[in-house]
Amino acid sequence: MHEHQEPTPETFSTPVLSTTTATATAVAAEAAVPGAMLATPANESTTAQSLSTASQEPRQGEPTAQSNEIQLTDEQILTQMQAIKDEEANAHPLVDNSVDLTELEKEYENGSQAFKNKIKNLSDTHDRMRRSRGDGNCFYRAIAFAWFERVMLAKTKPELYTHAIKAMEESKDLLLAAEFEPLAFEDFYAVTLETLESVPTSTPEALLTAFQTDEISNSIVMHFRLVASAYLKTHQEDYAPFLEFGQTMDEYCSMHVEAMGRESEEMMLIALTKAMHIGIEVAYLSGNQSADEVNFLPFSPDTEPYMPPLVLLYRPGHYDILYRKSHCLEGVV
Amino acid sequence: MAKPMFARRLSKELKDLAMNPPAGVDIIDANDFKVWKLGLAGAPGTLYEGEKFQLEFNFGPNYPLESPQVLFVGDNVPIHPHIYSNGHICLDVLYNHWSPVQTVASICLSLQSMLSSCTSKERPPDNANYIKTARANPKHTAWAFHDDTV
Repeated sequence: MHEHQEPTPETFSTPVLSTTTATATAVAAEAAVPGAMLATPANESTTAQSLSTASQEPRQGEPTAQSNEIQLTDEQILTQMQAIKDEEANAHPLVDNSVDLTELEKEYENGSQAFKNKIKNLSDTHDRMRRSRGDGNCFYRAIAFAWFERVMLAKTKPELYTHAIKAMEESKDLLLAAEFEPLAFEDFYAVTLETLESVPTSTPEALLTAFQTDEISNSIVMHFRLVASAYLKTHQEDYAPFLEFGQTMDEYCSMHVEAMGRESEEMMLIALTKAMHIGIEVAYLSGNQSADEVNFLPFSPDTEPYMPPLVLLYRPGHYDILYRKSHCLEGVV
Repeated sequence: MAKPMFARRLSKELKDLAMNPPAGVDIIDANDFKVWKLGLAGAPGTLYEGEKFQLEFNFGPNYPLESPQVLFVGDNVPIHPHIYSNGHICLDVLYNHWSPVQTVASICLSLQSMLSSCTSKERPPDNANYIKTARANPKHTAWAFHDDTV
């Protein structure tokens, strides 16, 4: 048996918020306490929805729009959806230019003192950041870009490229081991591999352009999603206990990992860390802790990592890339 | 890149469908990468044995990142508790459980299995009401999936 609500598209109510407004919302909503492994940060999905204007499948339980509104044709709805997407695309590239960390401070000019102190502390060890569009894919896009960028900028360390290529090839084996159909993943894999193979002869500008191009950028995001999903599926015994009662890993992965626009949870971070043999450190910036220190949560691979950890900035519901000063000094980034 | 992603993917899927069609599936019309019409024959030994149905797949430029629009068309829409008389199908993989690892073939298999497990040929109880208010595109319906076993 099934029911349905009044057939109204999600587009009517899709808000277009500027980053600043969205951030303010995130800040106002008491942030989740980070640190508990595998806990979904509270507010993640709500914040993500307000941040995200990209088209997503109607979510269950999502409030439907006013039923007495004029009914639009499918054609009009599509046009409207496209307009919203275009607006978002013009406002925020999928991956932005890197900016000085003072830009982050500016966002919180009118924010709480706790935030200002934390950013101040963060800027002792980190000097730049790079925004990833808040479309529900920000984690995957941020981590993929940071990884590619590392490989690109490490021209003095050619072995890094060799490691990266090896990790890519292994990721394909992982997808096969998880019994994904080659037909369904090979296009995403091919685009990701092609982008990686172009790195030694390409430029940082060209890499950024690639990540700002929908088809390339989304294919790479998709590949990273499938890798995370494949890792979880092939290590069910370790991760199934974290699922909701009655949910299978396949169901979880198809709904929360493989589908574009679905927010990541810590399980996906762990999976990618292990599958790609990279360390990730997440700086949690939230307003609810009294300490002025920013809380860093490290995720480490099982194997010896071939590059220093990639650093992400997490604010409830959103990930961006952070640049650590010491990494620059080492000539890594 | 020469072809956009959806075209590359669909040309491979079409070739695969032609060479290894799932049981009971045949291609009626697939001349472009926008709309495909497939035939689906009820499996032997099920309530739908001997019946022929037509499925229409509409692909957007974001396929396979976004799901295709899938519905039954033609004179014979299967009488099934999850299929409305306007051809709309209540099946989670077409909507909120869609993932880009699904293919046209895997959807056909899901539909075939949905038909085969049916024990009583009847329309959804809210059919009359639904078809009056539903949009042409079933993806604009807010579906709730309760029971996969019917």
